[in-house]
Amino acid sequence: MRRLSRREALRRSAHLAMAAGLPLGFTAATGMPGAAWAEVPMPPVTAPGYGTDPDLIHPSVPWPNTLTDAQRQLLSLLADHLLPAEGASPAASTVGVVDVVDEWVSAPYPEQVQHRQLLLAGLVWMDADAQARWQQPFAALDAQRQVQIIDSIAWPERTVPEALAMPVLFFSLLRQLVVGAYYTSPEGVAELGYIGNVPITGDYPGPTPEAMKHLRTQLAALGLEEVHV
Amino acid sequence: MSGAVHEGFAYDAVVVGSGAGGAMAAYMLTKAGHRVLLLEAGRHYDPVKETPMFHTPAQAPLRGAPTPDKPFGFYDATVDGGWQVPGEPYTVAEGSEFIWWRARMLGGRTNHWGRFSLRFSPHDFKAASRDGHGADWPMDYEDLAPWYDRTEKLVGVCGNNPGLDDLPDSAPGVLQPPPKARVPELLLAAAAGKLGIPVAPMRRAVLTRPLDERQACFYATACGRGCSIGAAFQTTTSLLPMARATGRLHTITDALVRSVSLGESGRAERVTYVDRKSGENLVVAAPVVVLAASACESARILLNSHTDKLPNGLANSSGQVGRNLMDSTGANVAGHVPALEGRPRYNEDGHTSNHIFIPWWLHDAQARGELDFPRGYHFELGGGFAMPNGRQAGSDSGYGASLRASVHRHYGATVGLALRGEMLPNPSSYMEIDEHVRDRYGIAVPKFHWRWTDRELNQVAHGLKTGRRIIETMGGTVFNPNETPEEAIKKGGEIIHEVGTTRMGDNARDSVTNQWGRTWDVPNLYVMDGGVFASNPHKNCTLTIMTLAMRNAQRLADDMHKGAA
Repeated sequence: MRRLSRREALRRSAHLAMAAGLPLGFTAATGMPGAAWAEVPMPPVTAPGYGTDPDLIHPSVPWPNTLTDAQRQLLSLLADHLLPAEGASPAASTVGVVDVVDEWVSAPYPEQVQHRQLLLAGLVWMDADAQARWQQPFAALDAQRQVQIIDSIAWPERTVPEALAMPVLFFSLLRQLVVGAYYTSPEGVAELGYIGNVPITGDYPGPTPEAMKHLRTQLAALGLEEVHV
Repeated sequence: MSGAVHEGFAYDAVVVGSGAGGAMAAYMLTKAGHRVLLLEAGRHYDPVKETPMFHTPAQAPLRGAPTPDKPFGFYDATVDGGWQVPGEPYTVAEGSEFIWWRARMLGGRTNHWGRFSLRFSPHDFKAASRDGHGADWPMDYEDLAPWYDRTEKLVGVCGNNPGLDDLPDSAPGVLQPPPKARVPELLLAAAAGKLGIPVAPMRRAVLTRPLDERQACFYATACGRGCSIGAAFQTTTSLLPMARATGRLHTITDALVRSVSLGESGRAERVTYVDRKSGENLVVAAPVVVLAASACESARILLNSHTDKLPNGLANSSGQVGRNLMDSTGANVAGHVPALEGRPRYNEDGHTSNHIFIPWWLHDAQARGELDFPRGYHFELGGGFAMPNGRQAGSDSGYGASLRASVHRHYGATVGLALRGEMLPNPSSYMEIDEHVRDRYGIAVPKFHWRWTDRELNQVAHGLKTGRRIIETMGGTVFNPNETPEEAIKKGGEIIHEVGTTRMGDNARDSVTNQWGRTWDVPNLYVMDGGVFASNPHKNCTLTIMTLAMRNAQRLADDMHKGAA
């Protein structure tokens, strides 16, 4: 999954802070009071990694999942805002996404430990922000108010107040993890239309006639000539 | 028969390392009737039983993402290695950046390599005479061409002969048919074509036709995991079983060689290795020694074989052991291409790597002095409907329906061009022994020094500009349009093409071996890995390592029959 290094996180938050210039604790969109970001104290992860010679045929995860039920419930809710059920596609929470995120932030590797800090602090912030605005935990808000909070942190390309820099980073990480988990699940793979990973007898058939027709249309539009390799 | 015996196995030669060079040497020597004791630092490894064929990211911890334990992802074949081997550190000089990929397994790095198999061209062997940089090879392309043919035929390489000057023809009937190009590659080819840049089928050591016991590729499951059917070449499914079938190969695994010792006569007599399981030091007699432990491991063995009489190490009267360390330059250009959005789905796995590539096309411009760098590069082309791998979000923002739409828009619509270029040797890039740091067996470790020069940076600048133009010509948007060459160039060692540390040459003053891989100083000591490269052309080193090992092991086998080794 895409890395969000500490350096990158700091760079982005500094950039966002400069762009904002609003006092801490207020959101630009509403002018309403919001929650301040707070780091969450955490004991070090001491579980083992899988080592440099794991069994590749029968993979297993040697570290335990560590999120609480409450954290998982909030994650589940947020995951379904990110990827709700749509048409034939199921909602994120129904394809094991929360388990994958739990496994990810419970892992002992440096990148995952960093993500753990950001993710757990972010979950705390979600509830704190809901409390600050409407005196209720996030899960108790109606969908419209939930979306209002999410909208304030879901668009990293938009300018936000300094107070939201870390929540924006948190939500970008969550998006990376949820989308990554979803589209590697069998349901997500099917939705994208990936049809490989099956043995082919004989020569590789290459593009289908439909795929070639589409390519030739595009080549013509771009003023390019097909090259025969 | 030499009289050397190990646990009842009488042998004529010790080969150190079972990767590209060592396995080829062992195969050639055993086939010629000699008996070989093969020492491999890593554990036994069997791709037939251990390759995770068809496993999906969903079955792996962290969806298969890279970790410090498995830096190329969970399913990468590499055992007990990667950028670090537990208990076996290396050091890097202050101000240098260098990373060193190792594996501790039978077959070494051939179990996961990219399988790109581009023979060097006539330009490459005498480049120093042409432009004054680095060193010439002590042979011509014509000397090596028949050996390239034999190696390609034995290994099994798919590709064709497009008649380009950077891609010499193989003899008729040598190459296996290349697979058909896929849609993103055809679009890249068309854009390159508009800019006057040629493309050609990539030559890869992947079978498209069955060969001996090995099956043809079935176009699924990434080659970097290894290949249980033997279609993607690795020595553990080919040269090693073939050598074993002669009855003249005996392999000791977990045998990490620490030094080679000379006898009174000045010939190599003993090889000392550590049994990695027990930590015990063991000694075997050495009638003939072939070092093929990888460029930096073999140089380390020679430097660590120093004695009072030879304070600079074994076979190092030239002072060149560890010097001339080269990797390939590497840089990536990638972008999003709207013309590839929403296109009809089909199975685009192919042989799971690029079917076509851009060979170096500017020899003439270089000769006319139109470029501000002396040596060439190629582009490996990427893009397609790959198995989703957990990075599907890309730089998407938002949530809900718009996020889902964005993921779909990007799937199969990203293209990438990976530059691989020739680096020249320079006095600031070398390895030595760090006497202050020992590995868990008490062996002094390598210390790396590294610097890119303007020759490499200017080359990368040219590649970035060219790659961006190609993506823009496809109507695409480049992801990092302002990245500088200094930012884009990969670290030293990162392309895993390190060579040159025991270079060959035509005299004992400035080279370590002659053109046959025989060290100038010790008549029965040979080097048959990438260390012997006199230069590092941009065409990925493994095929040439195998070709040189085949040629030079044949010569050695003949000499041994004559009693002249």
